[in-house]
Amino acid sequence: MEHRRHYTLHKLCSSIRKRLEEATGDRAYWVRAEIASVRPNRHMYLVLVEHREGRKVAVLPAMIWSSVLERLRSSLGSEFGNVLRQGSEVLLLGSVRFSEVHGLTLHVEDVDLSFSLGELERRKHATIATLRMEGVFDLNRSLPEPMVIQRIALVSSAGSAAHADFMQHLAENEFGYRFHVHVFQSAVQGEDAPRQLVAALAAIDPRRFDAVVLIRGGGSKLDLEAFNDLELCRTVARMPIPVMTGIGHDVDVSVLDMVARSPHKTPTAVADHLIDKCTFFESGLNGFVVGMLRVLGDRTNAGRHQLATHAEALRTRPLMLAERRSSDLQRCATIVGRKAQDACREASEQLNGHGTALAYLPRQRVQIVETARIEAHRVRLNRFAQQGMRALASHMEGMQRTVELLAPQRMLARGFSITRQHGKAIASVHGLSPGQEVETTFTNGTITSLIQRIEHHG
Amino acid sequence: MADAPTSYEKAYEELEAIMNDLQEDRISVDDLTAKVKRAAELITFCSDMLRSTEQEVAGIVKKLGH
Repeated sequence: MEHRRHYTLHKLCSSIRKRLEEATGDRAYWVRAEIASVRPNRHMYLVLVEHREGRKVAVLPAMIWSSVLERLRSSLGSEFGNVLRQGSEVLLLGSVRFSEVHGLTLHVEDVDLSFSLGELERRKHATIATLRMEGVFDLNRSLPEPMVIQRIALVSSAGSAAHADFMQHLAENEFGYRFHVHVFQSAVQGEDAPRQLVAALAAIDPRRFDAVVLIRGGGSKLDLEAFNDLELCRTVARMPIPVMTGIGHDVDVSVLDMVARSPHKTPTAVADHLIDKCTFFESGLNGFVVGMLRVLGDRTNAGRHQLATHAEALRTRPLMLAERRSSDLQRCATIVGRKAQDACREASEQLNGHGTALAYLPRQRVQIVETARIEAHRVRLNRFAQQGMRALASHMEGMQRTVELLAPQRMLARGFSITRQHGKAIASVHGLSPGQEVETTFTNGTITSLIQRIEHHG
Repeated sequence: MADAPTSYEKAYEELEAIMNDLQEDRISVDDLTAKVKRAAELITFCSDMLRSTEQEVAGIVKKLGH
């Protein structure tokens, strides 16, 4: 049997290795790939993959030496586990090595963290774009928030420090408010977190709660990846009651924060917000108490004031009227009295004159006329006296009529008027001057006028 | 006696309505006492609810409902 020319496996592999080393030297390349699997050991073994249109177009094993791992752990810090994990898109610096025993491997020397963060951002924007396209992005965040949120569906990892902080903060509020918290357990970080969170949210009966609170303790930036998960964010956006988040980060905002009704930085900030709402509501109640007391006070005061006004009016109005009437009467009485006095004095003087005449006439007659004519005289005297008395009576009557006619009301009714200044009747233009105010009383009213011009008559 | 409010919002709305009526002077003296009593009940109700456990809330609602 003829022996064919052949290479031993080792020789073939050595040859491949040599050719590869000649081609690449020790050069390292930046390679962009997805981590298909991770096998941590002393060294880390990875499988890198590239998909195009859903099809695997390249696969290459990679490894990270323990010494390099140590360096990466310190340079990536808390993001280490998020960058070097299954499913993440990475940019790796590595050299291609071929080992006769282990075959082709990319020896990783460095990892680009900013690329990983950029990827996070890119996926975040993709999630936002999808939610907007589906029309769900604004659903939860545009829900009205109840005035008081007391019945709370808490989605968290029971037993975590964040959970304990939140519960304690609510329970120990200084106002004594009670919150009814039901816990829906879920992992809040790690690969399985999005799925568990969706399941927890699905278990909530929105009719039994005022709001959903989703909390987590602090974490790294890439830890937030779970909260950019499309399905989780979609579920939160579609939640029919307000969702409040406190997922512990300062700088970055996850998509979950964007779609939630009320995002807060930390679990205790959520608790504070819930307590604040109660105090705000209760201060509103106090406002009602104060307002009501004021209104009632005003109303009572108004009533009292109104009553007092009425009472005062009732008390003073008749008095004023009586005073006015009384002063009117007084004035009339004064006028009448004066007129009557004048009339009486006049009548009295006349009477006296007649009396004197009557008294002297008979004596003169007795002295001068003969006794025979005394009787005739007496008759005449009697007649005269009688006539005189009649004349006097008629004169008195006339006087009385005059007095009556002169009574102010009658005078006024006849078209005369009384003009007064400062309450005193004006009988002369002397002492008056233009610009002064005078009051004129008619039979049925009074006018107040200003003196424009004064004409003196005689 | 009106029913217990079904929510804080409802209680608040009712209080606002009473307050407005009071301010506008739309409540007769006869109704005033009843309205003020109702307002006081609502305020007490809300204040109690804020400080009650879930079990106690059921009791308060029942009490005010009658």
